[in-house]
Amino acid sequence: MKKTPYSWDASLIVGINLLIIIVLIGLLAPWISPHDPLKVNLSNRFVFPSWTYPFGTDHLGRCILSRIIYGIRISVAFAFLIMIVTFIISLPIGLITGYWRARANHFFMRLIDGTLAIPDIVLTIAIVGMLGPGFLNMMIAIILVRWASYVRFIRSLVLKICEEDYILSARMSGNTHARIMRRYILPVTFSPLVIFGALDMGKIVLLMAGLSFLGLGAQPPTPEWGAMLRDATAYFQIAPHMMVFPGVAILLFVLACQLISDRFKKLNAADLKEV
Amino acid sequence: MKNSVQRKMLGFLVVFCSLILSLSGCAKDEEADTAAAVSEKKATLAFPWSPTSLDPHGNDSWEVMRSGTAETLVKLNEELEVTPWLAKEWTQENDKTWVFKLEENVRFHNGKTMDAASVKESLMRSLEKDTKVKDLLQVESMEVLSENELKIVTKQPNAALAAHLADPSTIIADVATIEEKNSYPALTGVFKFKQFTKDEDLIVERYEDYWGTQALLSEVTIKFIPDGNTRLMALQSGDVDAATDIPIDNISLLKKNETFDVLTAPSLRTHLLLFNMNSPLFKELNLRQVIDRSIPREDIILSIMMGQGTEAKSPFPEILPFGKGEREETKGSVEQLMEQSGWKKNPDAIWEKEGKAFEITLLTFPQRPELTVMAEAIQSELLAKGMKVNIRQVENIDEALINDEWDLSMYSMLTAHTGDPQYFLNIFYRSDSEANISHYASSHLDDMIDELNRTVDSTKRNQLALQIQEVINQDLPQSFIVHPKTVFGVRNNVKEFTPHPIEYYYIHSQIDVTK
Repeated sequence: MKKTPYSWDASLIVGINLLIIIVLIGLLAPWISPHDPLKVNLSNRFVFPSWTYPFGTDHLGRCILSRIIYGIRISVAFAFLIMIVTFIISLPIGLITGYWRARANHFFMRLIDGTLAIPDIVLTIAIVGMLGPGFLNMMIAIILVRWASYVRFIRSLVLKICEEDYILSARMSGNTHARIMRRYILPVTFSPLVIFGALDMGKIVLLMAGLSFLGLGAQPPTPEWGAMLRDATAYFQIAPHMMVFPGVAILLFVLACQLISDRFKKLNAADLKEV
Repeated sequence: MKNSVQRKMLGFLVVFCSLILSLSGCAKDEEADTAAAVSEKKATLAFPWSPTSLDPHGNDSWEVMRSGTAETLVKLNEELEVTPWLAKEWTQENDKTWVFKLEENVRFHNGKTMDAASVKESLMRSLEKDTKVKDLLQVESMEVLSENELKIVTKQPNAALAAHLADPSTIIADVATIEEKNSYPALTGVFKFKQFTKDEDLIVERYEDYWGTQALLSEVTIKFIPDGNTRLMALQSGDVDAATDIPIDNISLLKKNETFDVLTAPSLRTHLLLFNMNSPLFKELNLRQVIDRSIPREDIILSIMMGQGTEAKSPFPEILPFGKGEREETKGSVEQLMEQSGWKKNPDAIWEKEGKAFEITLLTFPQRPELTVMAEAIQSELLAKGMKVNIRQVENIDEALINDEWDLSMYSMLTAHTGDPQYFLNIFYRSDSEANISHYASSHLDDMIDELNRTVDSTKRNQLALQIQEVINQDLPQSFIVHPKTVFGVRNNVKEFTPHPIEYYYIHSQIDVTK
């Protein structure tokens, strides 16, 4: 009998709560944010944090708190979207290449090796550079870069699962390949994939922020965290609050993702040992 | 006992001798110091723009002029009057004929003496290299009258010829040295080139054989730092002694610190918004008017420029006699103008025509950070009125204006740097001029500019210039936003490095650094 792996501990609780809070704030943005995130008020530039503007205002007099709250919708929602699309692309590829170890696989694996050999950020910058700056292009670039590591991860999972006796038994009892993949392999990959996804969400948000910081992603006036940091660089000496709050927002979100995936990773390792 | 006295005496002697020796050493050092102080003082300055080469004729002439290495026949003073420089006097013999008498004893940086023949050769080269100079000077022929006299005959009467010879593209150089690969061009300025690294720095050193007052500094290093904030930080960290074009928002930082001075002066510059008259939207005057009316000029001057500028109503600042243009008052509200042009608001409150939403691209560039903030303010204002604007920041704005698709662009022009309206109007508005980046074509305006080129009397010229600006304000190929002040950040031991209305006279012989 396996012992239940999901014993709660502090870091997991903190991580999940943090994530839930962030997502909730994002969902309730129109009701919580004190001001319109796009409303320019030139007579109110660089206001330091105060009761009216808890996080202060930026170089155009916009409320930074409201922008960070709306930024959740952009950073988190789009990171989630990117992750889902990447899964949709890489899941079938990972499953099939892991299940049938045909020669054609080699081609895919070398392609993936090639993609993985180049650091994420460098490759994304190159792709966005070719496609031109913009949010959609940034998403395409991130997907093009991230799919390889997803496929590799899924394939390695499938390879391991295929070694199991129950797959052999399933095959012997006359199940088709498609059915084996659907019924016996896919469900088992689910839990590790959630961990992988959670960890990757953090990475994607960082990547998006990085690209927007370089001016390649979100374009003004979009309240994206990285773009807000970019705006802040010109004024960090006179208005440091412009830089601190978006930075903290990115930090908290990535931390939440890390805490959750870390905990699961440990559990999973314990699981695998027992097996 | 005796021994100890002797030892004491000896000790005293040793101390005494070494004291004298060290004192004499001191005296020598001090002498050496003062001598060195005269010849070995250096300064490092930060400028935003780097030349691509040191060729004094053509696109890099402004940056070459800015380095203090070059001179033209005449110079403009702070009141923008033409004053002698390499030419000590000149006379206009008739409508088209001018005689310039050159300074004697002027030597190029390679030691060669400057004479009328070399000036002619140099001017010929600028005419050849730069179509703009050709348009400006309208030279028919040049003739060397004597060693120091040059006659210039123009095709048409060109009243502003002397003023136009202050344009940096007419820098006087020893032509033979320009194309040489192993040495830098030989010019006549108070400094000469020592070392140039493109996009990094240009080091110039005092030219010992200079014909006028010698430079106080022995060497000036000009660092090219395009980003305003980096320029500011270079100044704060002590990497540079002075920096030009400090971002206005950061002035307060320097003012708080006693080691720095912030120097400002009215400039002859205009920050403006270019319309691309080839873009399908802005072919229409109505839409240009809509944008022009939506620019929050007052807010921009008060908040973004922090009062360091005046509202622009025409291309020329009001301090100039021909800079009193008035903005055309348009009739009708933004709604009316849009509806007249067949636009309707869609459910998202965005204007729409034939199923296409109003969406335009606005270019901006980082070298003048306040322009980007203005762009965002304009974007927000237009969005509130139902027009979507996508801002695109480009590194090289001039390249982007030629190559890319754009509708609007932030831009900044020094509009009267020859102290005369003719130059700017010719290069910026003539339908056949390459620098007419708005692609504005009006034969009526071309005729008026021709008339200005022909007119000699200065009151009449100013009047004509005002009439031309009236037409420009009616046709609205650009929206003029603000005449900014020039802002320098200077360490307070740097003397005489001050903003000049003419942006390329910043480096001169009197700049000094004290301890």
